[in-house]
Order: sequence, then structure tokens, then C-alpha cells
Amino acid sequence: MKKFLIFGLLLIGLIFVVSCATAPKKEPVPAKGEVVPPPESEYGQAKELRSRIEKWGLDRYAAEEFGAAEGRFNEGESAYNKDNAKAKTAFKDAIKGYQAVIDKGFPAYLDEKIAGVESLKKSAEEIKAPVALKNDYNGAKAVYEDALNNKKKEKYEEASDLLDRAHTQFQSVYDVTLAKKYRAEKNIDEANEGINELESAAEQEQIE
Amino acid sequence: MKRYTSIIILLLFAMLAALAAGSLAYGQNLRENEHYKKAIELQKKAEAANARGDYDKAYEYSEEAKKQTQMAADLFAELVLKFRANSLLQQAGNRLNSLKTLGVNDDDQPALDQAADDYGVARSSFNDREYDQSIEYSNRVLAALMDMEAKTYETAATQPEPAAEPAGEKPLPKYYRVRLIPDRRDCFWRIAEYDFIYGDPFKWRLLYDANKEKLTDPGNPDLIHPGQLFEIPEIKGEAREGEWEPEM
Repeated sequence: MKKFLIFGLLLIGLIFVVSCATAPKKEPVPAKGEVVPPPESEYGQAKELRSRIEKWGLDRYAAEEFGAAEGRFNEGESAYNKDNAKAKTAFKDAIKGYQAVIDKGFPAYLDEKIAGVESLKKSAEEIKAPVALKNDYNGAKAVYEDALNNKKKEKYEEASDLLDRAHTQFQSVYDVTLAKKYRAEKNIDEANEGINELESAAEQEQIE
Repeated sequence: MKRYTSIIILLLFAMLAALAAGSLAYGQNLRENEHYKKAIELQKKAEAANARGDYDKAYEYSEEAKKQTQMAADLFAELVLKFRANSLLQQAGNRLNSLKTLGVNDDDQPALDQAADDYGVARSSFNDREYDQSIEYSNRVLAALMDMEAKTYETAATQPEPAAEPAGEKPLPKYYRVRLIPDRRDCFWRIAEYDFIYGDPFKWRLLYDANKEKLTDPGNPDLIHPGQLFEIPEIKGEAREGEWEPEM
């Protein structure tokens, strides 16, 4: 009987040890009265993403997601230094939300820019800029292709800067080509007028 | 009458010789003007370059075409002036010689000498390519001779007429049929220039006025066709009959 009692106690002890060793890890729950530090890192990261979105105006491409993230961000700020645990969770949600806005908004933003550059490129090609201003045109085209590659690699800021450069360069190519075209056509017309006048004069003299 | 006719024939033959030597040398043809041909060629290149978008080249070609056209126009203007100067010089020379041959009244001799001097100036100006001056002096000669010629012809007309026309003298033609001459296209100007017509291209309008109703487009004296038969109006009462036939 005594043996059974000892064995039973050992078994209960073993079960207790095993159950404690395999229990799921939980966030450390601060003990009542313990001070939780403010979630500075989460707050900083959320602010950084938020300002990036504002800088590029990406919120208009994902208004719903942005609104939700903003809500969580505000909640985080409200709880900051009051209920830091709650603030931390709120900021983490805000970070996820902001990142989603960026992932959706940046490609859409770049697509708009690409459409503008593409249109300008086409206009330049229509007035034969690749012939009239070959080097400048090829330069603009190389920058444009570089921008597209950067977009593919999700280097959005770099892609955006390159698209701006490509736009400026194609605009210049278009303007200069158009000026050259007008100048040439005007001169051709003047030369034709001169020839026609000479032919008329010859006819009038009846000695042609 | 015979003397009067002889004077006219003498004048006309003199004009023929002079015009044959002079005016034909100036049969300018714009199509043969090297600068004109170059200008046309450059314009074609300019238009081709423009079409392919090579606007700088297009501008260069058309700029050069403009220069060539200007050179062609300058040359053309000079040739026209030269042609006119030569034509007037020949007329002045022929009429001066004719009048010298026929002789003038003693009162007119100083004027004839002055005309001869003016003719010398016209000729040397022509040789120096001072065509405007040459034209001015030739016109002076012609104006001076006009008065003297009138007196001479008047005198000739008052002479008793011979009994009969000498046989063998060919009258001037009354009609001219337009010919197809590839090298020297017939036109009123050139027809009037023939010695057997008026020997003076500037009288082309007389021919045109007399025949404009026969033209396809009466308002366009440039449009005449080979085979058309034109009447040649008399201008100084000269005898004209029949159609002119080219000598074979």
C-alpha cells in the first residue's frame, strides 16, 4: 500500500513537471503594478511608414486600408504612456496597415507616371525624334527602361525618380524635335516659294 | 514705190543678220540654268530628309537650295537684261548702218554723227556688261534715228514711182504658220523677231492682237500650237502676200 502511495505521488509529480515544461509561451503578463515601457520602436516605425505614405500621396490608392491603419495609429498614440501594452499592439497593427497601403499604392502611383512618360515618348516618336535627336532620345529611353526595372524590383522611390527624369528628358526631346521640324519645314516652304517665283518670272519673260 | 520697198527690204535684211548673230546666242532656258537645276535637286533632298525626320539635314539642304535659287535668279536677270541690251544694240546698229547707207539731209548729219557716237557708247557698255547703260544709249540712238528715218522715207515716198516692179523680188509674207522647232519653240515674241515678220520681238503684241481669236485661249498669248496660221498685220504700209515658206 505504501509502495502504491509513493508511486502515485511520483506520477503526479512527473505529470506536473511535464505539463509545466510544454505549456505555450505567453507574452509576459506584467504583474499587477509592474510598469510596461513605452513601445518606442513600434511607434517610430509606424510614424516612418506613415510619413512615407504622406510624402508620395499613396493614401489615395488605398483609402480604406489607410483609414484603418490611421485608426489603429491614433489608438496607439492615445494609449501611449497610459497603457503601453495596448499602445504597442495598436502600433503593430498600424504598421501592418501602412505597409499594405505602400504595397498597393506605390505600383499604382508609378503606373500613372509610366502612362505619362509613355504618352510623351509616343508623341516624340510620331515626330520622328529617334532620327532627329537620336542620342537624346536614346538617353531618355535608357532612363525610362531603368525606371521600369526598378519598379519590377520594388525599388519604388528609385523608380519614381527615374520616371521623373525620363519624363523631363522626353519632354525636352519632343520640344527640340518639334522646333527643328518647324524650322526645316518653314525653310523648305521658303525655298519652294523662291523657285516658284523664278519660274513665274521666266514664263513672263517668254524666254524659258 | 520701188525705192521705198528697197529701203524696207534693206532694213529687214540688215536686222536679220544682226539678230541671227545676237539674239539667238541668248536663248536662255531656265531648265538649263545650272543653279536652278541644283536648287531643284537640293529641294528634293530637303523634302526626303524632312520626311524621314532628319530635320537638320532638311534645313541645310533647303538653305542651300535658297542660295542656289538666288544665284539662278541673278543669272537669269542678267541674261534677260543682256538679251534686251543686245536686241536693242543690234536694232540700233542695223538702223544706223541703213541710214548711213541711204544718207540723210545735211541738216541731220550732226544728229546722225551723235547717234553714231551714242551707238559706240552702247556697244562698249554692252561689252563691259553695263547692260542698263547700253540699253539707255541704244534707246537714244533709236529715238534719234526715228526722226531721221521718217524724213528719209518721206523723201523716198515723194520720189516718182518706177513704171513697174522688178521681177524676182519676193514680197514679205502675209501669213505665218507656227512651226514645231524643238530647240527654239515658236511664240509671238520669237515670231515677231523674224526678219520677214517685223525683226523686232517687242512688236509681238501686234501679232497677238491680230490673231488672238484664233487661239485656244485668247487670253493666253503663251499658248499657241504648231500648224496655226497667223496673219501678219502691216505696220509701215509694206507689201505682204501669201504664206511664208521656209527655205529648204
